[in-house]
Amino acid sequence: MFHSPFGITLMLSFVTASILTLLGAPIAYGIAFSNRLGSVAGEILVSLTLVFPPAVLGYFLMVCFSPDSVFGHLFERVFGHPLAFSFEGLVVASIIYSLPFAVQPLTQSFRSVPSSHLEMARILGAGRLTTFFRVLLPISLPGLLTGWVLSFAHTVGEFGVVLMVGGNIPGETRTLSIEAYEDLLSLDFANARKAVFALLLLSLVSLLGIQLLNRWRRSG
Amino acid sequence: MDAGKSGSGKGNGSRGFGILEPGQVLWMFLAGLLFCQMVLPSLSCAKDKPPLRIAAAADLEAILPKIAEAFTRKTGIPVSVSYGSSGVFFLQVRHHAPFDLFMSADAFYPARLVRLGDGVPGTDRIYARGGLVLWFSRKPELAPGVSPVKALSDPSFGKIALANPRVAPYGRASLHCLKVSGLVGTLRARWVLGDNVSQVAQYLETGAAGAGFLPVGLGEKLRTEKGWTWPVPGSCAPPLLQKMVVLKTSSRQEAAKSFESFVTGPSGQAFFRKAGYGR
Amino acid sequence: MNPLLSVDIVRSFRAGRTIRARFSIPKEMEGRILVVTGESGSGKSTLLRMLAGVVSPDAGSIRWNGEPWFDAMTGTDRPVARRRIGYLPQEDTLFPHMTVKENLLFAMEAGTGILKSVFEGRRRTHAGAVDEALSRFGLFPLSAEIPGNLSGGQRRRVSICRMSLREPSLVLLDEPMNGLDPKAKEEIGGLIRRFLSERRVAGIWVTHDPPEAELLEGARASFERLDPESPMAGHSLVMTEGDDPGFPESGRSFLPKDPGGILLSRMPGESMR
Repeated sequence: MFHSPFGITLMLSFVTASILTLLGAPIAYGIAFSNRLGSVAGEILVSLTLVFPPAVLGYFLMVCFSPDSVFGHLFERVFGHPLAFSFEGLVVASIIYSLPFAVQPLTQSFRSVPSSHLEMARILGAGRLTTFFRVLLPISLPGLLTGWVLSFAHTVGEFGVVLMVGGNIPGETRTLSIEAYEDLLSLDFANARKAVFALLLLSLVSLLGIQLLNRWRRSG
Repeated sequence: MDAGKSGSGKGNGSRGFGILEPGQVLWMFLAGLLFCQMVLPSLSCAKDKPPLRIAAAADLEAILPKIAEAFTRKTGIPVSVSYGSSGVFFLQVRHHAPFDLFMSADAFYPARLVRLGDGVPGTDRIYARGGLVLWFSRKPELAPGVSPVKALSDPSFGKIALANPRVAPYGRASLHCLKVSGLVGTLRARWVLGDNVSQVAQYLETGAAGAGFLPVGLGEKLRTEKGWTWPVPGSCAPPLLQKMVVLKTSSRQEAAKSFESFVTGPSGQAFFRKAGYGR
Repeated sequence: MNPLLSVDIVRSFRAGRTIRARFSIPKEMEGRILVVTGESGSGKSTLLRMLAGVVSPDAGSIRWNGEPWFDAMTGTDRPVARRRIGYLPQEDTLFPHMTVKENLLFAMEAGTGILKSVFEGRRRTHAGAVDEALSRFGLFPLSAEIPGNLSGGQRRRVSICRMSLREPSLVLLDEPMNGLDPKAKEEIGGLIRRFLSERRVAGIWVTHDPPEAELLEGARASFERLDPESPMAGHSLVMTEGDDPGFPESGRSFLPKDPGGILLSRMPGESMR
């Protein structure tokens, strides 16, 4: 199961979205509440991957992950295998690639929390951490979940980066989107149909999740 | 939100989610970490018997699965093949992609890898002589003695598909044939470039292009369904020497070498001959 | 003896508008209110936010019982949490994701610190005090509701209850009657007055509504235009009507003695630096 393209895609998207949600919260906090210069710079930095051609980004990441680079070398020393062309490498690449999709909804959510609520938390004696975890984050929960679902969906459909960084290795880095592409190109329409159906299923579930979230946000 | 508007939906008993306490968040985080710790190794750890990993040029998609199956039947060594552009694989191998053997669509990349120290010297061997076919969506009407290449100038065929000459060896051969036939000028506006030969096959299969150049293997596959093919003679496009090379980073160089021997041996070559490749 | 609160602050805004406030509240004001009026945008809310500590003045000082809360000269700026302020802002600030009871608990335990609170069974320790407050304010039947399900008057009541749990020594009320119907106004007004006099806490009550101000008993001050022709220059807090609690000796030399008791005067700009 885990080694089928479906399993790999599901796992990759799940792990990526979850790590991104944890990682995105402090980043979104920084962007939403720093001064104007810092927030503009942060937003540009985070959104950079949106405009970068995925294959080019993938090549860049592959070079960074390879054992020839300082970072890749360090990873290999610690974990015993290279980061590039491994599942972990895909996770790291997907995190970078899908970063804006987790951070942007959360930034918007943070910004829409009235500052009077945050001031009140301080007046009631809360420190920064308490305010963050007990007031800001729970009120922004819909934004947090939207970010999770969006980065999940975005990772499911990721292609160029995965192809470059992952190397299309069956059972390890061959995801559904690569499989679908390969099946289509090799004129193997029966298998292509299966892969596309699985992709469609994952996308539908994600989109349904977003719809439910929106409904919840409107009613809540 | 506004204190002035009195909340009308009163007392429907909905609970707040302020119950998300710091303690629970911490536990959720720890549980997530544990989950990742448990699942990730099962994903990334090598299986008991890792297969021989081959990075193969896209034109081999039609033929290599059969060869690999025969090889596994004979030696018991499982084979896992990744198909793609030779150029992309070249880049990935340069950055230590975990392949054991690289089967390129040309002779240039394997030789270069040996020179750069990423390929095992002496293992870059020719495994096939790839030829081109010209594929038409229907049989062109030709005066006797006229080369079918000339039929490409018939606008009713629509787009002409070929692999990108800058990145695909087969694309270079296709362009050479057009140049020799003096058609580059008239056809330039009508051609579409595929990233690799598989994409060219895709254009032809879907009817996006009405004619195009394919490697013999893929042409064979497409011909059985529809269309008409013409083998491009060596005078128009010199056959492509296709080389493979065992990679330095491979931990299974012996198995890779035995695969090389199998492919260049009589049983492997029979598959290539049947698919229209020369040697 | 120091006055309860002595304030002498300036805050400027980007457009060049300036807000000045210079006054003191004597000890005798405990349990009573200072009514602050002024046109909208004159700085009433800003004054309260500066006293609460969520906005810093540009210059001057705020002293509580002689202790500096803020002093631009020495760079003192006591954190919000350590000023023991009860603040009822104009907006509704009950946390929308918490039930009434959770909102009240938050006031009790917010200062505990997040890591410490993970390891302590803090809910139980505060539950008694919260239950007691719930019943005292007649909120027990509402304790499991979220603020979105409450009426404006009920929400205000919960806010006051939450404020009371902090046991404040100074209460800042920003338009506390805003948006309430007449019946709720009467109820909330009585609640605030009772709370202040029972706990002997001083209050500053801000309102833009002259009839409302008329009804309130207490010392009065209003924000007046620095430039009578235009509101753009800014406003200065001016005492309009002093209750006469008798002004005690001021410990601070920059505050001139004033038999008016609560000193609310136009502040000369040059005395600031």
